[in-house]
Amino acid sequence: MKNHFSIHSCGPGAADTNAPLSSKRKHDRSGLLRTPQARSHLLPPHHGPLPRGEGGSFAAVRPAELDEFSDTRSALFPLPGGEGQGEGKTGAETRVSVSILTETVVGCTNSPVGRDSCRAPTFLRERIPGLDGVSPHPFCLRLRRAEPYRSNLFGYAALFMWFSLISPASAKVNVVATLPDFAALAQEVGGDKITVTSLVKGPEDAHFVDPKPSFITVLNKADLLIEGGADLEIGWLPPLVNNARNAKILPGASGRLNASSGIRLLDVPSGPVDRSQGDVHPLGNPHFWLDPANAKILVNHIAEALGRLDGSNSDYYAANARQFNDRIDRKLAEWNRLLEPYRGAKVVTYHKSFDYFLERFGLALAGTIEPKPGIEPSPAHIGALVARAKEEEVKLVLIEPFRPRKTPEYIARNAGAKLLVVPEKVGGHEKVKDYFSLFDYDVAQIVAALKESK
Amino acid sequence: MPLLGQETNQVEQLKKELQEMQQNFERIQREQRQQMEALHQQIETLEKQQSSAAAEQAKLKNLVEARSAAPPAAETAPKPWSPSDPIRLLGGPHSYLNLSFDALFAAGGSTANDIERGLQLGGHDPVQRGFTVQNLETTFEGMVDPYFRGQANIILQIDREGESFLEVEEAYLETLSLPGRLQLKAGQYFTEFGRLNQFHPHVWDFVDQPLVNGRFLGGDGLRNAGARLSWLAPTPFYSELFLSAQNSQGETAASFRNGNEGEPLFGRLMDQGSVQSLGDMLFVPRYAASFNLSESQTLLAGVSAAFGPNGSGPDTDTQLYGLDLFWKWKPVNHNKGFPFVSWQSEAMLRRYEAGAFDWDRNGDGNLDPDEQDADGNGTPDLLARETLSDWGFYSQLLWGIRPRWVAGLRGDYVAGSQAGYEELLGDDLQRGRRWRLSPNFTWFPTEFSKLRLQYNHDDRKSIGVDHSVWLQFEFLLGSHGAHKF
Repeated sequence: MKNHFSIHSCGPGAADTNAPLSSKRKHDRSGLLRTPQARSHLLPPHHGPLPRGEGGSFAAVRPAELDEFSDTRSALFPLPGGEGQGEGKTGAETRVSVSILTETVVGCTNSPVGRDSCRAPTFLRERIPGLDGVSPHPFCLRLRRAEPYRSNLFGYAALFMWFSLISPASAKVNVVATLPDFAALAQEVGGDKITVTSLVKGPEDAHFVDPKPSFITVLNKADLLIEGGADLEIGWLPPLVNNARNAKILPGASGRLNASSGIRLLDVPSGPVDRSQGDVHPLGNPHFWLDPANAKILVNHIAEALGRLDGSNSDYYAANARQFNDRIDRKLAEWNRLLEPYRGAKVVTYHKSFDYFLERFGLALAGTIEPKPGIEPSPAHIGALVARAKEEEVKLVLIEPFRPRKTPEYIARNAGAKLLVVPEKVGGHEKVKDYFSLFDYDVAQIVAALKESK
Repeated sequence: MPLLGQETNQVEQLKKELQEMQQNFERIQREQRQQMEALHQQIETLEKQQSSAAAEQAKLKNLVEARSAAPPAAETAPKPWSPSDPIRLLGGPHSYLNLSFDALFAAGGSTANDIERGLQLGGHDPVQRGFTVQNLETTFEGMVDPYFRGQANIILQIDREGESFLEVEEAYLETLSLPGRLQLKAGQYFTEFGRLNQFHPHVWDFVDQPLVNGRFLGGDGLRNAGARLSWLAPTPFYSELFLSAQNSQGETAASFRNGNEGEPLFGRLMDQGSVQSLGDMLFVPRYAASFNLSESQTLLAGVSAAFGPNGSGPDTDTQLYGLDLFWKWKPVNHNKGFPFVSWQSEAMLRRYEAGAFDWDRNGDGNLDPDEQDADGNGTPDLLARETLSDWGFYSQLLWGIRPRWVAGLRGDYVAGSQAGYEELLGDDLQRGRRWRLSPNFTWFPTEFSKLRLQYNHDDRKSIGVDHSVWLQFEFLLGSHGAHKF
């Protein structure tokens, strides 16, 4: 390799002191700056409370992560962008010297090169607050081209390492949830003491999520991972966690929360299970978040987990959980009252996604469009379902927004029922922005449809 | 002594009182325990009851409190696992070993007469008219301990003569949480070079291996025993740096110290040689990065290289460079992962330093029966040292039309520079220009089975056009780990 980079980010007078440090570690690639002496130069003026090596202190790449998830997150929880990313002081004392390959590139805020010439690339400046040369960011860098076509790659690599080293940590607990519903509940408990990211998006079919590489990056920085469990994410989550290199969220670790624990799951097979019965979940139906009573249990577990990870705020989390549960009790009474006149009304669903909702509010499932979990319907099954729906006077065909419409429409039309599309997850509809609005919306829609068909 | 007697009486009375108190205490304890048990039972029966909405809500509140107070583990694990229990094959919380079996077959035919290793370069491709047992793969996978995950893929195949043979495709461990964002993989594994080489044949989108993979990485892919370190860069997007060091010999390192089973390669007889220094190992650096272009579009791109000695001479090396790109569109409101469109392409370039080679094997200067005289001048051939450059690419587009139905189209192209030995021996089929176009159609009854029909239009320089039609079918049993993106 003939072209190489090092980045110096330095305070006044740093040019002299940098030279020996950088030449000393010319060939030190990945084992950047192992010596305590070097590290003391590297650590930001104030870093987070989490121990080094736990990923916490270097969490400041977090604002950039908004790049991918800002849509989801801002839709669900309008957090101020980049909040909690404490800016380092314009550190006269702070010097960073990262030598990636073997040549030298100099960039100094106060070097004769000047401010503008050492700006970060535009695409990074646009996304990362504080990187803009005009803002009072403590560091500044310039990448000198050693060889025109290759240098950018190494330059960016150097820039990324620079980020990981200088950025001060956020004190917030970084929560990653598989589903937006768990993210919404975590947000209720954690308030402004946490940041939350949901891997699955509201309108998505949670059984068939692509394990995007970006999820590895997100999971690497997680302090707490909330998963549905009961094999809900078995098709995509395990390899992501295995590759995330984050001991905090490995199965059984204190930062791993199985949301289905402590919840009585429906449809737990009592006899032997095999795949001739379709994609049966041997641990039970994993769509449990559609029962608000289950949310109460989960919220208590989230408060416990957050209290364990962030003891200084454990009272805050516990109080939020209590408040949430009181509110759920009040809302549950309201939702029950709204649906009371329709108790026992029969519905057909596509998949067994709404079972917990139906059980909670006294509606009855007359059949599913899928003959077996995950199996597409045959014409014979559709015919039989229509006949049964007619006979049992099914009022509603209830499907999630991502399902195809043709078959459900056919069944509804022929059975004299009404087709209703309602979200089963937070974010599944534009009006469903949190856990309460999910039920407010779904209950209102169902009540309106049942009223009409009465 | 009356006083003493009185005292004795008192002591006895006190003892009696104490005994009574003890009995009382034990009785109360017993009663309370019974009461507690009764309460527990009551809670349980309440749980099972279905009552009116108002009563249910009040009850619910109590239950929720009672449940959240209790340790959750007690409720989810009705029966502790014991070593005598059968091994679970469906995944889940009690799994010590995930075991799965995948069977991949093909049926069909071709106009070509050299189907095996001529027309079809892949070791798991269909090799004959009629049926081919492509790949019978048993996968063992699980957590080794708190530090490692382990995986082994053992392949059974049946060759054209009907002989069954066994292949240890992969067997490696992988660290779970090394510090410094590092991950170590060690054992026998598919080299992280390019994209397709990392995947087992049953997840490929086409019946056969792309031509670039067959020519440069070998019919069975680039894999060997070794160790790989990877570093997840602290970038806002996914980016990972890999460095692998592996053995450089054998047929699973085709462009390197390949013994080639006594057949000449590039006009020369190969000699695997032996490892003399660290430089005789195979080194494979790779960098991969992924970007979410929008909510529904993801891009994964990688650059790879492989450096190692080859078997054509004492001081000859091979350099292999690769570029891979995978783009996928899948709308955010997909149903069962459909519809989708994905585009995957890989380009590779190989520089192969072929050593000087004297066909006078016994050194007597005369032409003997096992020696080669292609120019017909009566003396064994003498080949000069030269560098062979080869390149190629494949590009494939998949369209997931609706749940269970996928249509695909792949284009292949490979070519090489004209070499000195070819002037003597004629065009080398293993390096000649060639292209192929393959449309296909796949039906997935579920994620655990598939049926695929593919047509190949092959055009080989100095052979001409060949047509092939293959029907592939697959089934998967057991708990097969999720695949990466």
